[in-house]
Amino acid sequence: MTRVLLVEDERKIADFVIHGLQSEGYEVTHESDGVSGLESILNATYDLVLLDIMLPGKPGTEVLQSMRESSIKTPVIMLTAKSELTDKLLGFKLGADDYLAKPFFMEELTARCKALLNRNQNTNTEAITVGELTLDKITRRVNWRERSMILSQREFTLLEYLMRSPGNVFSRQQIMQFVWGIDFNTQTNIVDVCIQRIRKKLVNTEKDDLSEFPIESIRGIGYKIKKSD
Amino acid sequence: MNKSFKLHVMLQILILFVIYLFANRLYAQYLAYEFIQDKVNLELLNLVESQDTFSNKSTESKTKFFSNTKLNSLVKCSTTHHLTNDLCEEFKNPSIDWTQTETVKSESIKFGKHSFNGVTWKIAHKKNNLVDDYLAVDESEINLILEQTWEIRDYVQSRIYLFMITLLVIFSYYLSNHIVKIINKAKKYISNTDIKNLSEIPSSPAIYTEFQPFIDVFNDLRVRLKTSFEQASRFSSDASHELKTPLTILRGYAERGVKTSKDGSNEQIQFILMAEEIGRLINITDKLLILARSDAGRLEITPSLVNLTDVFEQLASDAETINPDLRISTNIQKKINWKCDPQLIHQLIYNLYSNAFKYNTVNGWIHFELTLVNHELTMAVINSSVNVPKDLSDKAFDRFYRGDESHTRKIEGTGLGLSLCKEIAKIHGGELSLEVNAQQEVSAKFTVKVKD
Repeated sequence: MTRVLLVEDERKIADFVIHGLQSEGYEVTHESDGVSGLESILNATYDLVLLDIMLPGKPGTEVLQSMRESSIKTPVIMLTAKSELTDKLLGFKLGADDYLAKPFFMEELTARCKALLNRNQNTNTEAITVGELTLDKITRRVNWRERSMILSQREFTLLEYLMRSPGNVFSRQQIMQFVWGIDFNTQTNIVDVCIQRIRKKLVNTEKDDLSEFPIESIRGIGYKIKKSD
Repeated sequence: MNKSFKLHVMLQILILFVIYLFANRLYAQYLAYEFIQDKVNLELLNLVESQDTFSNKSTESKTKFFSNTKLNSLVKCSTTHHLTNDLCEEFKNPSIDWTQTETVKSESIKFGKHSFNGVTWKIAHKKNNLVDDYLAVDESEINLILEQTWEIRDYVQSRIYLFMITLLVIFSYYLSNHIVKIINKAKKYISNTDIKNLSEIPSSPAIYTEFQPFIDVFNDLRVRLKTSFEQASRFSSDASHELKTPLTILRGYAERGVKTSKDGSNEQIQFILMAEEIGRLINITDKLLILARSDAGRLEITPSLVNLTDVFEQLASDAETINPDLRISTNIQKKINWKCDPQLIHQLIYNLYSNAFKYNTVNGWIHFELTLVNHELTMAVINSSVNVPKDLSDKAFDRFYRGDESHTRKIEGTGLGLSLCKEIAKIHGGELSLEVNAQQEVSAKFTVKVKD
């Protein structure tokens, strides 16, 4: 079982992060200040550490520094409300593996956790697979059943976004913001158009049953990738 | 329009000089008149004193002043030398006012003035037991001497004034230039100040002691500014933490709600709507924080090379999908890379981009332009629009300005986008402008000088 340590002083944030990670099947330990966080890192073994920067007792950057000085190479994701870049740069310099600014999507956090854990376990990170759907991150090639196509940049980003969190529903606004960076409402159906393009590239309407295609439309809400059974 | 200080100083000095000339002339005239009168008196005194004058042996001038000139109008009356005429009889007139009396060798000699047949005479009268002598000079002759002297003076002065005025112009130019230089020095000292170096008070520039209070006042202001900026930026940093934590929590719960509720259920739709509104709140918070940071001078850029050609081509191709009714045209130069802050510049481009959609017309168009000519990078988004307020170019960059509310109420927006873009443009050393032409075409243009 994957063990994750969360060092975060805001109890409510910790609550939903713990909940979110647990639902992904991780075992989560929670510490609410820098000193006990560092103690926990030094005394137990974790696969991943989520570290807030603004912590009582000892700031996250110092915790990170101390653990790297003790040669603990556990991957670390820094969490903070401060999106100032100096913090970000300092974080990377001290040996953080990733950085996530508050307020973040839980989806985003779990996706990054997965990516880091995969990297650490030397598994193939160049492709994501959900059920029969495989997406190659380097070549942007997607395979579904016997069909294989190259996706455009936007199509690829969209599909990757959905595939990172199978089973999760994403609203059109959420997808639009992530893929196109658009946060305005233009009554556009750009998301639907893009999904249709992906579908058209992969589904042979004569042979395949459209309902078997893993991208599922949720009426009035958005889209999700069906979880593989 | 502001007046030129140099011109002002020159004019003032010239006016003062003219006043001086005028006063000088009046006073000089008065002095010269007094002088001539004195000299004439002295000459008359000396002449009347000497018996030779009346014996006609000598007509030599007695004073040095008249050594080269002779008093032509001199009239002599003497009882001892039997010199007499009508005038002499006239001088005995008792109505003559003898205003001045000089005493020479215990003899008193009186001076007076008398008009006779239209001629004013200046008369010297010596009288004792033996003699009763008069000497008279025509006043107009004295005036003539005065005028002759004056003519020489006028000639000389007119040449000298020309020279002096030229000198004065040069002098006043030099003087005002010097003052302006001092002010420029002070200006340079002050203009080196910005929010980032408020705390370090540089050594005063070497200027005169009279200007020191000016510098002191400024430095005092600087300290007060620094305090208030520190408070403002601390506020923005605190607000960042204070707002983002509850927003993170809210978003987290909304997300969990979406996940746990049944797909497509009403609850899920409500959670999604909530998450979207939270998203919008986060968006506004982010924009406000960038603005607050920029105000506090704490907006820093982390530059890296951005392939703008790719960004623009992608945006143009997206535009066709976002709204298929719009005609899209481009003028995108190949291989344009620019070292800038990717996040901030994306924010700028996206703001212009989204405005072009939001404020477009039915069956309108958008034109994208990206060029690099003579080290000047231009990014422009031009679009058709409708009901554009006349003062858009001036007001669009004001915070929370949203155009004519009756037209824009239906369009989502915070009114922060363009003021944010302006700050982003500024921190990159560029210029952002918004222009509207008569055909209601809105052109948002960002230009910046780039090094190779």
